[in-house]
This record gives sequence, structure tokens and C-alpha cells, in this order.
Amino acid sequence: MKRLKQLRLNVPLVLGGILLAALLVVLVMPSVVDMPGAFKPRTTAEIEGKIVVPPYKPGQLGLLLGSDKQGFDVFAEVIYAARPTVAFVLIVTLARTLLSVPLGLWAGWRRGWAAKAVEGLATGIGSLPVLLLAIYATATVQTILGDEGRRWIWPALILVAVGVPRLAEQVRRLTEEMAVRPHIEAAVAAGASGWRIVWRHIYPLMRGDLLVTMTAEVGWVLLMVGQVAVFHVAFSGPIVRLPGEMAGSQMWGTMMAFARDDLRTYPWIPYPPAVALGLTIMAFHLFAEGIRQRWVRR
Amino acid sequence: MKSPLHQIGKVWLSRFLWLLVVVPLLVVALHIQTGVRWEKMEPFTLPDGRVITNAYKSVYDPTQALIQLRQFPADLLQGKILYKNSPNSIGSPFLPRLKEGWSYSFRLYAVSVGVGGLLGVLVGVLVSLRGRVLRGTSVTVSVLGLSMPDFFVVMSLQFLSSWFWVHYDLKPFLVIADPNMLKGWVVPLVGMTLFPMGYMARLTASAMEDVMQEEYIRTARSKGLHEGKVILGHALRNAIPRMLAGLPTLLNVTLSSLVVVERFTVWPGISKWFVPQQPFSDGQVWGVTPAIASVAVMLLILWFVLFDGLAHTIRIIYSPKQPEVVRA
Repeated sequence: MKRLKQLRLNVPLVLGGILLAALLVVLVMPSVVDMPGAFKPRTTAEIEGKIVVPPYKPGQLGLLLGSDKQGFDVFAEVIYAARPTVAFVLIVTLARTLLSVPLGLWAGWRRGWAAKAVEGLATGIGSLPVLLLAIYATATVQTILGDEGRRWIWPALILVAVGVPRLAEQVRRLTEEMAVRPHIEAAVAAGASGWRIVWRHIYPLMRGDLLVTMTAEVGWVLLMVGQVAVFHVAFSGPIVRLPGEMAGSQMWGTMMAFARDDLRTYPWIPYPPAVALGLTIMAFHLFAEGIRQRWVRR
Repeated sequence: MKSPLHQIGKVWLSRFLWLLVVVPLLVVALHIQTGVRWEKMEPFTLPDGRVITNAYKSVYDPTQALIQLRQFPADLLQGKILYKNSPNSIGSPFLPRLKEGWSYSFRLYAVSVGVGGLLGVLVGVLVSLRGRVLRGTSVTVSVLGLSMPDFFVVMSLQFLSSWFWVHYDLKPFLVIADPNMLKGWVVPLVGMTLFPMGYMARLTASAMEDVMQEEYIRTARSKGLHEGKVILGHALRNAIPRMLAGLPTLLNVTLSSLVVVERFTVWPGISKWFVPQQPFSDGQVWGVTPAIASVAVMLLILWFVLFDGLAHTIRIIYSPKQPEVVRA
């Protein structure tokens, strides 16, 4: 009962949890509900005796969020785009974590040149507009390699590269803080190896912090996906889908990027993916804050 | 712990070295990403039966881009970077335009950081109060400020403005920003103020929470000092060094946000020159050429590095032992 009460007071955790549960429903939906509007565009339709062409307004022809300029159902497209978006962001976050945690732990424990290298990289990347670096690197690679094939791999690598130094620096600082604790000194005196101390005595102490950081990191990567889209740089999917092509080949960022100029004329096309991105970013940040308030003790 | 002077020297030297590496790389990237040539495609049939005869495909051929890249340093040094607004125009010098755009960008940036920072401090101080409702509200405001993405806020406000206009014939604020009208400031300012507010609120709140546990606060309270005086006179003053530890991140993230918000709200700042245009099918490039984009990006990076260096210098001067907060 006491735990439930504490949870109720933790507004960010509850709000974030609700939003993440909603995201889970969206991710499951394509497997459960049939949404043909994502595959078959309605190129023309008859409304009140008149032949009309897309984009259809929300509510017209039974389309909840209307259609895009090709006649695809916007609602169905947003639902289908959830999977590639979340998958892309989770892959980037996982890669950042897998690279930065061992690097930060090693640099924090070893100190000396390793710590200086990590600090220098983090300072360098941190003192530059990372967003622009990501945009230009992605645009350059995509121009040179073309739009064919797995378009998302290079942007993913670039996003991993610009994020690893900062995360590794955070882990390094945490490691250095932990390394002066008495039980670590005792482990050193007992002759434990550096690897064992880091893995068995330091890493468990920072798991809570890492959980918060990585949850928030998903939000930061998603934010960058959205911000990059503002510059018409997309991470996945063809710009114009041909009828019958696989739905779900686009991400929310791509949908938003190429419909951005329609905001004033057909707001129902770019706005739903932006809302989906915005709410998902909020969900991860709120959940991270909730975890921090509830479980991370200093 | 190294001396503050040593730390400041290291901050500026490392940034200068990074500039030397990154700026040439970006200039090259900006030039070679426009190395596209258009070739006419063979006629093809779509799945629905339509035959397309006049399609072009882009082929990557950086020859022209590399010629422009070689010319760029000389053009920059001689002040020959010209802005052409049509293929046949002779062009006008770009630097005065850049100066005007930068002044608009800087105004928006300065006001956003100022307003956001002050509101953040206010919200952060409220967290240290004893009232539960006030405390809960300010925590929620700070968390929401940090979590709401700038593009989402801007798009929502633009959507709201259009909705009001369509349904009630009202324009509470302008969809397209106008720096000469108060209504034109609302969307970009709100979009850019939320992050500095949320970030500063969190930093202030956590610094205040630590300071409020100190002995001298208990002493001040036991002396019967008014709570407002305890918070503002004793706690806040001692929390400032910790708050300043987050200044570099605050300035950096807000500057990144400026780029996004300017693009979205069509603010007449420097962001409109950041994306070089691909050549048209006749091979011509006008408007934002790679050279113009390079100059604009160089200015932004210089601004970024200068402010980052200044923020670190202030942090080191005020609290040399306090490490930077990488992200709240």
C-alpha cells in the first residue's frame, strides 16, 4: 500500500508509464488490426456527388486522420511507422550503450591517457553543434551512396558516433567517483584484478544511474531524429511510396520531413507523426525522471 | 586540482584545435554533398500501368563541386562570396546579409536564454519551498520543459494558431515568425524557452535541495529569519556555483534548438543558409550555394565554440572545483 502511494506521488513515472504503455499498443497494432489504408491509396473518391482527389481531410471517407497527398491513410501510416522508428532508435541507443559503458568504465578505472582521451573527445564533440554534424554527415553519405539499399545504416552509425563520447565521459566520471570508495580500496588491497573490480564492484553501483541515462538517451536520440527531419534529411524509407509498396518502410521523422511544408495547407499530414514523435520523446524522458526519483538513491 | 588559469587555457586550446579539424571537414562535406548531376532515365512503367517518359535520375559526380571547393578559400579571403537570387542575377555580397541574419538570430537566442534561464531559476527556487502543491507543480513544469521537443512545441503552436484563425477568425500569434511584431515572437520564443527553463529549473532545484540541508540554513531558520530571506539571501546565493556548472550545456542545447526553431518558424536568422541546394537539372546552382552554406556554418560554429568556451570560463572562475554537468 505504501509502495502504491509512493508510486502515485511520482507523477513523471506514472505519466511516462502511461505513454509507454500507449506506445506498446501502437507497436502491437499492425499485427492485430488490419489497416489496408497503409498499403492501398485512394487516388479518387466521390463525396456528395463530387469527384475529389487526395489529400482527404480527417473524417472524410472514414479516415480518422485524413490522407496524405497520395491517398494513403495517415493514421495507418503513423501506426506502421512506429516499428521502424522505435527499432532504429533502440538500435542506436543500444550501440551507444555497448560502446560507451565499457569505454567509460575502462577510462575511469585506468585514468591517465585513456581518461584524457575520452574527456577530450567528449569536450570536442560537446563544443560543436552535434545536430549540424549529424545532418551534414548523413546528407553527404546519402548523396554519395545514393538512396538505394539500407539507407538507415549510415545515419545510425553517425548518431552512434556523435553520442558515444558524451556517454562514455558520463560513465568515466561515475567510475572515478566510485573508485575512491572504501570497498574498492579494500578490493585493490585484497589483490583483485582491475577487470574484476570494475565489473563486480563498480558497475553494480552505477546500474541505477545507467538505467536512467539510457532511458533518457532513447528520448535524446528520438529528438535528434525529429530535429534532423526539420532539415529534410530522412533516415529511412523512400521519399515517395509507389502504390502497393510496403507500409512501414518510413519512420515518423521521414513522414514529418517531407510533409513539413504542408503544415499550413494540410496540417493533418505532418502533424500526426510530429505528435507521435513528441509524445514518445516525452514518454522516455518522463519515465527516466520517474526512475530517477523512485529508485536512484545517492 | 589544476589552477583555474590552467583549466581556462585548456578549455580554449582544445576548442581551437577542434575548430581547426572540424571546420575544413564541414566545408568539404558541404561542397561534396552537392555533387549531383541529373541524367535522363529510360522510359519505365509503373505498377498501375502508367508509362513515365520524362524522369531524371541523380548521378553522383563531384567534379563541379570540387572545382567550387578549390575556389572557396580564395573567394572567402577576397570577400567574393556572392548571393544570387536567380540564375541570371549578377549577385550581391553575402556578408551584409549574413550580418543582418546573425543579428536576428542572436536577438532570439539571447532573449530565449535570458527568459528561459530566469523562469528556470524561479521554478527551481519554488521546488525548495515546503508547500507540496507548489513543489509538485514546479517539478512537473521543469520535467515537461525538458521533455517537450522544440519542433513539437512549435508545430503545436502553429497548428493552434491556424485552428483559432479558421474557427474563430482570431490570430493569437503568427504562424510565420516576424521579429518586428510582438505576435511574431510568440511561437519561436516559446519553442526555444522551454528547454533552458526546464534545465535551469532542474539544476537550481537540485542545487537548492543540497544547500537547504546545510548547517547555516538551519542556523538562519532557528534565528527566526523570514523563509524568503533564507532562500534568496542564503541558499540561492550559495547554489549559484552549482547552477553555473550547467551553463555550457544550456547554451549549447539552446543554440542547437535555435537552428531548428528558425527553420520551422521561418525566422529571418542564419539557419536558412545552412542547407546547400542541389544543382538544378540544367546544372545551375543559385540561392544557397555550398560556399554560402559554408560561410554561414562557419559563423555558427564559431559562435557555438565561443559561447561554449565563455560558459566554461565563467564556470571555472566561479567554481573551479565544480565539474561541468554533462546533461541534467
